[in-house]
Amino acid sequence: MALSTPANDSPLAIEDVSVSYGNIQALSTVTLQLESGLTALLGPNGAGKTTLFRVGAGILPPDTGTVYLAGRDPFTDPAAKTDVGYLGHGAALDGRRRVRANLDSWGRTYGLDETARENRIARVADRFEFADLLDRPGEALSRGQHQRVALGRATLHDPSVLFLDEPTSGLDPTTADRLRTELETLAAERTLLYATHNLHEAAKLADRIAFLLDGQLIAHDEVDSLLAKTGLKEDRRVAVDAGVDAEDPLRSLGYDPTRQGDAWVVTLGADEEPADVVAALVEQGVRVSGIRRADVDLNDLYRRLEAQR
Amino acid sequence: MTDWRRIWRLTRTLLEAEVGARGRSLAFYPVGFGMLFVAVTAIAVISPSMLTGTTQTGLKMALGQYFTSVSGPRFAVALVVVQAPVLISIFSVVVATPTARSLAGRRVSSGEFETLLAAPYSHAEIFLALVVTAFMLAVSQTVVLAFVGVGGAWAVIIAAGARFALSIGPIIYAPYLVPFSVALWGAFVATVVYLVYPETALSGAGTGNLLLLIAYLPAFGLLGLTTTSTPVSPLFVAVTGFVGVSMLTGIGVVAIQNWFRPTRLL
Repeated sequence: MALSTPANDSPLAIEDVSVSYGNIQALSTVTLQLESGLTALLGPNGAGKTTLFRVGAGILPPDTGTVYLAGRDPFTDPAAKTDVGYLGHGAALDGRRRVRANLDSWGRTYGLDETARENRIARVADRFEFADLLDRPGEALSRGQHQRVALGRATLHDPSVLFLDEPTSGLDPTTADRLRTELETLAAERTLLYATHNLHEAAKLADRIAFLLDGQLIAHDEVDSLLAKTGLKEDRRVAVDAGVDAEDPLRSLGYDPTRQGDAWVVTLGADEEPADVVAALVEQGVRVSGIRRADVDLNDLYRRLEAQR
Repeated sequence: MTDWRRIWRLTRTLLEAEVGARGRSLAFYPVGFGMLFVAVTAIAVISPSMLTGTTQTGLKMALGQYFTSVSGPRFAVALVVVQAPVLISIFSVVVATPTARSLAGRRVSSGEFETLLAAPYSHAEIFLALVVTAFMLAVSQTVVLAFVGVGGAWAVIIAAGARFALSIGPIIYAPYLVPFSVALWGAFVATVVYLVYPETALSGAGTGNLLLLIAYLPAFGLLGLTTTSTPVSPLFVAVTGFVGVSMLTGIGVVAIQNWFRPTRLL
């Protein structure tokens, strides 16, 4: 049944959803409304990302709350899931059958006729570069090949909402880069909810960030907005080129340093200047070879949000 | 709400996938088992004394339920009329179990089931499609077995010159209903077991395997009835067995599809 709420306009709307596994509260009154584009779902292990994926994709019914896919509840109207593509952790293919047969079955599952199945198999094989694997049995694929085929399967029926759980994990750098380009293309036409622990990748691809912590959605916005909301945008940071032995002196000076490459990144106080840090370290016998401004990035945002635990 | 068109669409897809994956091995067992039955029948024609005394007594008694008189290789006839439906029943449940393992257990263990749950079907529809698919595959294999085994056995008997005076001819077909209800029961129980204990599908051990015995009970119950000289009408056994097992399966399917939640499978 169509809704007369704002959720009606959203490709995916999750409202006050809670899920528990016995005594463990996996999700707690989570509300999330997605627009088109790519939203990266971040959070530490056990934060509830996979559970949120399963609820959003109409796999796992929530204990309380509602899910709407373009205004339709997938748990009472399964046809609403026709527009969903899902790539989970264990998106296994049937290893006994050839890749083409696996994809063909998936097309049948969605009621596609033979011509549509053939065309779409050719299209996704081209898009995710596995045309040469179509006649290979599923069990003969490497992890990376399997992941590419699984992505092809997730998009075979041309869904408008895609749930992708760490799609580039296990891929070699070149293949992962190609895949990221494809994800950008997909996100231009669709709504993607994408779980990852790769913050560099998320920073490059995501239009928005959603952050889960202990089953609660504590942030959902564009990266710039979140940096502003968390106060990180105003932070003045410097990267101090010094050895690992500089950590204790920096802490004794009241900083909370993080190691990035060969440098320690610290946040300056309101009245401090970079030269003050260098002087204080030299005074403590630390050898400093340089200092420069450091930009705030998604790593900082992640740590700031995670610290809200 | 359960949509039977969607269930049928998914059933056809699962059937096609399973046939594609298992290929000729699907026909291997029914053809092999059928040929074995033909061989046993041929032995009963050539040398009836090879059958044990208990079997001979049981077969004679059961044969009296069908025919006023039989001449020629009567033990072979009795084997086909009386024991074939029971053996086919056992076979049907024996093939329904690995089919359910392949359909449900393997999918759950590999993670493929999670992806299937994201497809446009309700959980009850997916459950029903799995049961119907396992049933259809088991029945298909049973039909192949019946065609090869029973057809071949009758050919052997007729070639040996058997003559019978039929008292109630049509009821000799009634027992062949039983394998179908037993196959349905086996497919249902095995699907439920593999959905509840998916690890059984991979390890081949654990609680699930013990529960699979429930799937075998009706078939082995029938075997007991026909080999222990019990003076029970085969027609009665066939009809009550068919009705009883079908009803039990129907109630089970309705109960389980309402109860079925994927949480434990993810």
